[in-house]
Amino acid sequence: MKELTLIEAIREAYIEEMQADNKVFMVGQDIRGGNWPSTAGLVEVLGEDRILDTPIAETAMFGTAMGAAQMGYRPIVDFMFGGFIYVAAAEIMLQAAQYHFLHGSQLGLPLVITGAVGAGFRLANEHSLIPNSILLHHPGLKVAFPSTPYDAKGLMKSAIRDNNPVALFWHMGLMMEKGAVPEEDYVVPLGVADVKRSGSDVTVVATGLQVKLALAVAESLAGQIDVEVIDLRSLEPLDLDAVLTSLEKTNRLVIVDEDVKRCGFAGELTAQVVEHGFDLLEAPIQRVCIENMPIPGGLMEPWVCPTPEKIGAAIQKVMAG
Amino acid sequence: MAVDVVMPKLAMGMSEGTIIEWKIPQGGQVDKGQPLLEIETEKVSYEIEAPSSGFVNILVPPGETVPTYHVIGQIADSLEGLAASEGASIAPDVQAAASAPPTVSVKQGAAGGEGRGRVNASPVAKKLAAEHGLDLSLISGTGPGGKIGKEDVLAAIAVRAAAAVEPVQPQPEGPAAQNFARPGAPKTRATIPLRGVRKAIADNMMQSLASTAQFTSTVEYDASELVRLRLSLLTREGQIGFRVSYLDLMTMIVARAARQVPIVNSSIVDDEIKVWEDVNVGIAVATEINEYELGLFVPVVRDAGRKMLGQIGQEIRQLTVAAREGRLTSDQMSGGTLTISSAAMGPGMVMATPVLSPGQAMLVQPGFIEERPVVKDGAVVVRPVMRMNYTFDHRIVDGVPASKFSEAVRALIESPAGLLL
Repeated sequence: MKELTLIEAIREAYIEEMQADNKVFMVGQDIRGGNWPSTAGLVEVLGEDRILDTPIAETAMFGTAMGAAQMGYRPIVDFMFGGFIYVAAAEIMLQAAQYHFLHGSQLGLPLVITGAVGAGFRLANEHSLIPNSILLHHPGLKVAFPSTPYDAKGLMKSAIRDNNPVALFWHMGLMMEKGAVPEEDYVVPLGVADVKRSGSDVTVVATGLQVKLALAVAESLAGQIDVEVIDLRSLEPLDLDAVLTSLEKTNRLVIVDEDVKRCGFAGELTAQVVEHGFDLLEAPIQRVCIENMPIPGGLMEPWVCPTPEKIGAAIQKVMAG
Repeated sequence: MAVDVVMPKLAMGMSEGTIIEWKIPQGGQVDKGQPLLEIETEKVSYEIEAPSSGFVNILVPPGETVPTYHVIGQIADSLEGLAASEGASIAPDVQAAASAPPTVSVKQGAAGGEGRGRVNASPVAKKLAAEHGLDLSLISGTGPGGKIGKEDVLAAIAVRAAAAVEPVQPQPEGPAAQNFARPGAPKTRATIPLRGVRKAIADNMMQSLASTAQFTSTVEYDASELVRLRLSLLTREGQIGFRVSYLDLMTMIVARAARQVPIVNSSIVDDEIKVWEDVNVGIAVATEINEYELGLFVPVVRDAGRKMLGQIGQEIRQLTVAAREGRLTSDQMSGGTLTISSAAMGPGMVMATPVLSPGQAMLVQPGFIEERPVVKDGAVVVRPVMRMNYTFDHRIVDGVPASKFSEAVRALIESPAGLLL
């Protein structure tokens, strides 16, 4: 085992997959220079024809990737910040998402969308929002969201090897987080959740940075409330069974999702649990999300975002029934 | 839809309040924020405002004292809702139990909350109640607004069948609560909610003493032959598969004796005494739930009156392990016709008055075997002596048959060869 930061783990996934398969390549803005540590120096390792800088033109950038994917290549598109995908919304959410279905399920479109997301750095709405929910709203796109270096490398490999468009963003607040990564080759399959902490009183489902916050809250409640923390790792495909299995034990659910509450993933998971696991519930499901407003870029940022205090309050509320 | 009006907790140390006066009459209309009632706690009165607008359904009359958060009334948003709220007991969502309903009392305002006559219970509680054929309207809820939760249904199941449920953790009192205690009031070391296994035991004990005519007799036996028998069986440990204990032997002896004096192996069912064919011996097992409590479970060895010692011993061990691991099923604990309880008897204990298991006519409590001086042929000798407490239900078993039974036991203890017949 070795210790890597999350962003180093993603970088390793890039190198290993690109060395194993010469159809894999990357496009993005300033990736040669290394806007993020995940791409710094990659051109020296893999060559100029694998690591391509583009102008500030997301539509063209993604369009290029789509065209290449149609021709059998496996591009990785680094959008730098998740908020920038909106410029290429039609290309991603209509064209790429529909592709497989429009071609009678005969053709896949292997490409990966990536970049940094997440609040906590006062970068305001466009540089902090996490677009996972809006991508999930367009069937045909897969979404993964790691919280540890181990999961990040394993999921990125699965994403690159998947024959469908997969969005795998990393949370800025976890970028430099260190963790153990095996020396040998491994993947983390899409669609499998991970119980990061076992407990019997309440189930807290979280993704990304919120997994780290939920674990900290769980530790602080140790001895009073026995909290089980599930890291979904993958939003589409979704491991609903993992959540229901946990609820059979705890009967109480808190969902922490760093996206706007309204029409966010937490609401979708709530509906699925009510539909498939109503009889498991002791109390109404609690959601901890970003309040229904744009993420502020200044002092007000923590008021709008999920915090350990809000997660703790939600746990207390669901325990009270 | 109806909104609950609860006795508010106006101060950290407030645990109950008394209703002084309802300012709106039954069925009257009130606006949100309007004074609704006056309560008193610690000799100070407070005016409470209506939490919503609508029609008032009074559940607790003036003069009554209730705990904080207890539902004292409801505000229905419509006259239909009011009629439904007033509509006496809540129509249960689930079928009433085919067998006797559980002996849990219905608390005021506990069995209900919704204006349309629906039971206030969580989804998991409803499902659990339906699976066990329990009538939700007879279960008291301990959740917010008297909501019936999974724990409450489990407690009701336990009362009915003494099934194993989750242990409840005692809450040590924090410093804040003690600061507000009245001077002179005893300080609480821990608070254990009366739920689950504890509640089941409490209810069973009360019910047993309240519904039977129990008397206890203590009998002394010369256990010399029994001790010799056990030592002999210990040398056969390899063949038997375990070290034979006195509990194994007493189970077999009591069961065989009960076949000779069948009246002790009976129950009163609907004004009839049913003398049972098989002797199903309940074995009391104490398990540790937490620092303050032992749980008491009584798994059953069926047809012990006909089984051989090896089989009885195996079953006792399996059941004891299952009880300690919280794995006992309700099947394993049902069908007992009499009970052996050695759980409480310790060395030097001379007499006790053990309580009958619900529905049974006899409970036997074998004591420790201790060397005691006894008189034999005019001389004082030392013998291993065992005292046994017998509790009988006098409705079924009178003194003469009781004595006949304890003497049948003596014949087998003092001359175990009788077990071979």
